[in-house]
Amino acid sequence: MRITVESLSKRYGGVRALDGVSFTIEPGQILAVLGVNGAGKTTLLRCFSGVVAGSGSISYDGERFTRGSMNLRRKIAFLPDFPIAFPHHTVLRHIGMVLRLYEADDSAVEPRVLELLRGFDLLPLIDTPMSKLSRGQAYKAALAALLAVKCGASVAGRTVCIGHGPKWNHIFEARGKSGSS
Amino acid sequence: MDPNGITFLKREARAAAARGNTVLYSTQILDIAETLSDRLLIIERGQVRYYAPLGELQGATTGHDGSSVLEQLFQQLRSTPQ
Repeated sequence: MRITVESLSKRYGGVRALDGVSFTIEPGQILAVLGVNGAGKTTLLRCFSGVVAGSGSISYDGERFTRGSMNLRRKIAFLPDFPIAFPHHTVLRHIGMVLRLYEADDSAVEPRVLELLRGFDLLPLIDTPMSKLSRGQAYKAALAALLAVKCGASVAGRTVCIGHGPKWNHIFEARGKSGSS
Repeated sequence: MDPNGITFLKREARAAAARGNTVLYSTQILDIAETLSDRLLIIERGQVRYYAPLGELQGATTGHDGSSVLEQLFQQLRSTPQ
């Protein structure tokens, strides 16, 4: 999907989180958003996903996006900083719930889910409640669910918004301290 | 996330992009941005401070102190008021 951002601004009370942001991303590109803490990165990704609405515009393949654009929102897989939507569900149930939300819960997606669970070393944990996982494991489970969505739907050109957070900083620290995370 | 997870995620992100998907993520780890992006967007106080293809930076060399290209870019931006 081609994503066009024009004069995007967002305020939280008296705080200006985004101020006239404009840029375009072409299909097939990977964009890394960088900035110091509080720069506006998270707000920008939340605007992309429709979690918050700003002034200005975001367009996907020329179609203007609003929080009510449900057809567009189904094409956007958004992973926030704290991704556990259903903490009491098992990993497998959690993935199933996410797939259902995206209307991608058909049998064709099962091999893909298996591939992702294997890739993220989650197969031994499929019956574990999300709330019992380590932070890293929970993040991987949430990622697996969102990455599975894209092959279960017929819509091409999904956007994967991967939220940032301290997890990136903690990855190797946690590994170094405990030997596993 | 553990190193295996990061490696797998990078592979998945590249594969998604190869299928025509658009991938956006934010991170504080500059090494990840240098190895997993086509474009960089640096935001400062809610405004776009830098937006360019990663390839524009790849001709630059690492600093005398061993800092990466992106570390140098951040230092340069920091020393130049917005």
